[in-house]
Amino acid sequence: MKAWLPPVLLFGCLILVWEVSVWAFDIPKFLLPAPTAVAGALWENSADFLVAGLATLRITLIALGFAVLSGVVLTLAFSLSRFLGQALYPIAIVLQVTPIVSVAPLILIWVGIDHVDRALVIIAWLAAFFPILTNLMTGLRQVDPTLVDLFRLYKASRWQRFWMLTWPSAIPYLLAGVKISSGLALIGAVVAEFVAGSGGSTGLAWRILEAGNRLQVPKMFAGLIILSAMGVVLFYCFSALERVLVGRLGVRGAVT
Amino acid sequence: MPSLDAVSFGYDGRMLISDLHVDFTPGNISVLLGPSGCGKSTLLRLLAGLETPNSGAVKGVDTAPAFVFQDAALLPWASVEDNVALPSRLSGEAGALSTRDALQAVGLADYAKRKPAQLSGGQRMRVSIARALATHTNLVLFDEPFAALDEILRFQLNDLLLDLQQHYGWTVVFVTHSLYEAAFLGDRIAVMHNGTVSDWTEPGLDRSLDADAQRASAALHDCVKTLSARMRGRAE
Ligand SMILES: Nc1ncnc2c1ncn2[C@@H]1O[C@H](COP(=O)(O)OP(=O)(O)OP(=O)(O)O)[C@@H](O)[C@H]1O
Ligand SMILES: [Mg+2]
Repeated sequence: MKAWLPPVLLFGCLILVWEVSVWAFDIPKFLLPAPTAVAGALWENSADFLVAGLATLRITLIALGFAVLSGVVLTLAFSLSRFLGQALYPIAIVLQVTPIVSVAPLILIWVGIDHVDRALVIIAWLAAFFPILTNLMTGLRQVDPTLVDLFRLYKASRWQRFWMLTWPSAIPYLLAGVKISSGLALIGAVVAEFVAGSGGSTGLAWRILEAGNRLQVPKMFAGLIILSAMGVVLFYCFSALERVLVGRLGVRGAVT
Repeated sequence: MPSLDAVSFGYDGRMLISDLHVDFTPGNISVLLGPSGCGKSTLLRLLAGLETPNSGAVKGVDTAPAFVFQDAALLPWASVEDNVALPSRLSGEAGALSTRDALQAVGLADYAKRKPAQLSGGQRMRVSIARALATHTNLVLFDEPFAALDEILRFQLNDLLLDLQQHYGWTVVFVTHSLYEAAFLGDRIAVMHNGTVSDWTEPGLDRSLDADAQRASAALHDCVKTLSARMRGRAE
């Protein structure tokens, strides 16, 4: 049996049960719309959703890009200077443990008044960058000690040792981090849009909020479905990227 | 002549080796046997300069020796040829053999572009030996290199090593747990125990015979008997 068959079957059955129940028990549309109604809403608003979905995706990917960039730069800085690492790491932890929803309004006030997009990106970046940082820092410590001996034996410079040994050893960990962070960046983008409310934001979350305010529950469901689909697609894209790159590097994937 | 001169060494203040004198005859294979944890790897690391003696000195080791570890210790992301070229690339000194010749010598000329993951365990070990060939040195240290391989492969690699050693006049220090491997490879064999190295035993195999005949020879079996008695006597 193909691996995708069981979940698809289960999913199909659930939707069927849902559809039948809604008709059988006459559940009002604003409480729980039938799958057909959701599909209808999806179809009717498809153009709208496409634009909104792309807007959210854009924020997510930009934030993810910055997360990778800042994760790499910070990790390099940490590994070059113990002092920097000791100084900055606690701050990174504070940023990580503070719930993003509670920081989002502040960032919107500071940045979002003139540039909502920038504020959204910053919030999504905050949500996404920590796993990349920690994964990379773990990766940099996963160097095979025998290989370290080999490099010491032939008097490798610090530079050679870093670029030819430490850094390549850490790449699988970076890729695993990016995979995790892709989902977090999407969550961050959605949270940011929710907090921004109608203030000029055009993403999916805002569409869901708006539909909710108007009690268009089928449309809310439709938006939700698109959001989860985006999350799943992102995750699988970055999983595939990880597999391909790790395979091409000839290394084993990170065990995280 | 590579040697340890009155070397003392210990990890974290626990003395492992004290006032040790050992000479390793140039152009010979010196084999070290000994119970686990007696300091064989440590001795090799001292010779290689990976550890610094607390007192005494390592002499006669002018350039970094080649080191063949128990696992092949290859960079997984680098091709076979890049792995072989690594020592000369790092040290900036051209190796004794070119990368191509080194791969040729271990029978892997067609595998230059492969990644280590695309090789068998025995082939990876050959790459590790090719890397030693391509290193700017005459001194090659082996730390239980074939312990994880099956016996047939081990025989093949022993034969290869013997060929290369004779051809290039290597000075080899070889650590193993196998008495037969010791007796077959060693020009001279010593047993290490509690940080001391015993006198050398010379099996005196007739190297003009082929490898199998040497393995079957009475000299080899006599030597194994001697070594076995020594190992047990010392270990008790
Ligand atoms: N990096 C280290 N730090 C502290 N102690 C160590 C270190 N490396 C080895 N030792 C200790 O030194 C002793 C000798 O170790 P060594 O690796 O030289 O033994 P060995 O003879 O090679 O053993 P084996 O046959 O199992 O490989 C052991 O007791 C070991 O625990
Ligand atoms: Mg050892």
